[in-house]
Amino acid sequence: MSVSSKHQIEILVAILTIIGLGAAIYKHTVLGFPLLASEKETVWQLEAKVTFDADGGPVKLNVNFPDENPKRKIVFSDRIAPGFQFREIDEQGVHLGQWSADQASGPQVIYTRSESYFSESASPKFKPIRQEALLELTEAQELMVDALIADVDRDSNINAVLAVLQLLNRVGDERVDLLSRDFHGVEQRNRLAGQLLLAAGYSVRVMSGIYLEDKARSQSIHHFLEVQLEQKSTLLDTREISLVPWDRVILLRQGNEPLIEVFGGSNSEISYATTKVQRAAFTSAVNSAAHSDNPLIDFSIYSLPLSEQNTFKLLLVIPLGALVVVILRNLVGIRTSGTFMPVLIALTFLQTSLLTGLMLFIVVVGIGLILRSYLSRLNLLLVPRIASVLVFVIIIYAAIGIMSSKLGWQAGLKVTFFPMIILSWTIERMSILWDEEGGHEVMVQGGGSLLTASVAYLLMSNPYVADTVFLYPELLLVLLAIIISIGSYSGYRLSDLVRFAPMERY
Amino acid sequence: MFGLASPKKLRALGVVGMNKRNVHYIARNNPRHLYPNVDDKYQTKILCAAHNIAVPKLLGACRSQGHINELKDFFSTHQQFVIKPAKGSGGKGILVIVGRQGDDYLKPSGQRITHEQLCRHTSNILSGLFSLGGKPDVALVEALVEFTDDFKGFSYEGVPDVRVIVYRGFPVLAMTRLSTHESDGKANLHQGAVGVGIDIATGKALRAVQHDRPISLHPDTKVELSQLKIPHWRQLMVLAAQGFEVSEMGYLGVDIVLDRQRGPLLLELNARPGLAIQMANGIGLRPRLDFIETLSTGLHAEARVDTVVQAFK
Repeated sequence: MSVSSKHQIEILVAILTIIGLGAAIYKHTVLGFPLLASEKETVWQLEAKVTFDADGGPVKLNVNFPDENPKRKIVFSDRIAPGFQFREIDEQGVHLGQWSADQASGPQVIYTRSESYFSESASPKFKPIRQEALLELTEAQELMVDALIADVDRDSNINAVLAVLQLLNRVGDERVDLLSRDFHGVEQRNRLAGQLLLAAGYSVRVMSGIYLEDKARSQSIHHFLEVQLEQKSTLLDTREISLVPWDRVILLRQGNEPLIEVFGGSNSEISYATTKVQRAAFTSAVNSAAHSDNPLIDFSIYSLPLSEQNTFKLLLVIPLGALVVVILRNLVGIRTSGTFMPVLIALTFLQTSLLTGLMLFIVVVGIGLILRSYLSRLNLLLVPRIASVLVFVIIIYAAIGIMSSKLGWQAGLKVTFFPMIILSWTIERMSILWDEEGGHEVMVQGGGSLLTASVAYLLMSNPYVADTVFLYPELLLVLLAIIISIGSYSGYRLSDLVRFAPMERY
Repeated sequence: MFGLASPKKLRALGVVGMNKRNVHYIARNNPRHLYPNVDDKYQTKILCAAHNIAVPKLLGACRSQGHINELKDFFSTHQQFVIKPAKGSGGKGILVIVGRQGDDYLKPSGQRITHEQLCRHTSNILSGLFSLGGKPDVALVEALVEFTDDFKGFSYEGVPDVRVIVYRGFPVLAMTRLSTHESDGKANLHQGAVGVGIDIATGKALRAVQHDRPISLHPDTKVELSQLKIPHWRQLMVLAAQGFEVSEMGYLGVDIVLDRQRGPLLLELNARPGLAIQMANGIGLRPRLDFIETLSTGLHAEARVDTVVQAFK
């Protein structure tokens, strides 16, 4: 091997590793792929129903869509609005869905639906609040507010904030009573609470949204306050005077934006329903990435129909079997009969389970070898000889199947999962080996093959391993890198160390 | 550790492992397109003839089923011969005839076979019964080698041969393979034949192994193996070195037998010679291969043998 080819291998291995690992890490951290396919995750379905009466002319409907939340990944969205055209627009930082029609009359119903989940890895991006007034206060009201907040410490921790909110719950305080009278109703009261915080020098704005609850129809809008403390946004429920986790709510609007605006219609109403769904975590990650047209997902096995995905799930573990063969042959030095025969046997074990598989293999090959030894004496030509062995194998399958069925041993019927051509060749090769090198070598190679197949099976059948390659098929590039580096490994095999042990003592 | 060598020590001894042999020596020195030179014994014979190399005499080659009809006439003048497949492996399909009895032929065991049986055997060879992968083959008819008696007592029931590893034309390690009762008369180390390392410079025995483990007595004849000395050693070395010109393979195993009258004869060439020879010699290949790589090419066989005899004394 020349230096340049050694260099080439090093570069190739490095590139493959970087691409494979890079893509996997990207998928995990950015796209939120879970580490294991068996991870379950909660997905929230949010459905908004808009009703209004159209006036008969052109209609335009703006619906305030849930605000961008880096923790919240949209998996899927669709709309039902016959006769309307839809587009998503951003108007001064506000995310709107806009439906329009040239002409519409009478009562109209529009549904819009989304599924989303909250990823744990991503943290909300911190965007400083553009402070605006929450309420228009009279001078007297302002004085009352200032007097109220004079009673509490203005500290930049959350307890101080909650203490300010507690002020509004004071019983018997005249100032509180007066303010509460002027600003009644949940929304006004929420704004009042915000105004107190604002006066106390906090950065604050009002938010509206709905709590996520399972199977909740006609959800009512709740009002919250977002307070920023030391570069961290916190969501507060002013009625409960408590903190609200970001993944417990879907925020629909901030500040004074209207939830819904209709031009060319009247009597508009919007209602929300939420439902909780459990599903495999990676489905959400895949759908979310597909939803945002991520090319890594668009052109991957996840774009295939589900049944084909399952086929690939099986195919993807085969390279692992190949890796086992490479390691056991080139690093350990185990001799096998046929290079990749053990991988195919391991695939069969996946269907039959290990012990049954081993037993059936030994029985079929054992009987096959006995029958084949008779063929040796007939001096048949190669192809007719193997064809005869194939017929033997089928007869052995049938015999095992029938006998195990009679004996009530259902596992025996799984013998049909063994690839018969491969078994025929294995019997043929072992028989020749027996003639040429003796029974000992047949035992060594047969045992080596079964050992390799068993190790490959244990790896390929491991659900964690199978899930990982299915979720991160790009890791196969890393596997390829490992195989290539073993391919250029010229050090000792374990078997060399055993074999040449006497050299040490010379 | 017991039963396991330390890689460090093996490296210090210059022992070449399987991966090293495959990646560094075979892949780098034996181009694929040259394999037919050694895998096809007919091809080897032709090349040997072109280079004036002593081989067991080729009496004829039977290439098509039509030739079989001519066998009767052909064999009428031959008493002793060997029929073997050109692409056979592991000694399969070799039929040795040591004499005639009327129209029948005699095997070494004294068993008689008829002319029809001999024709069928030849036909089987042609149709690829013994060749790798069942490919159509050619049946070679060779003169029987009259084995020298020099190995008497050192070999049991069979014919010993000498295997020489030739690197870029320079013999580097040699051993003789002695058949045992266990190996059933075959000089095959896998089957239990004894390998005796032979000093390149002198032709004298060094160490001996059976099943990769050192021994000092022949397991059947109980002869002290260190007493063995190969005759015609110099001639044998030159013949081995010439294997390079024949095959053009850089990393080569040359199998040689000693004929009573003709001396060393080149029997077979091997592009993937095994590594047990290191154990039989108690010498790692690596230092010798490294040394050869420092030498200039272009020397003729005699000079190459002089070089290694000097260097490996």
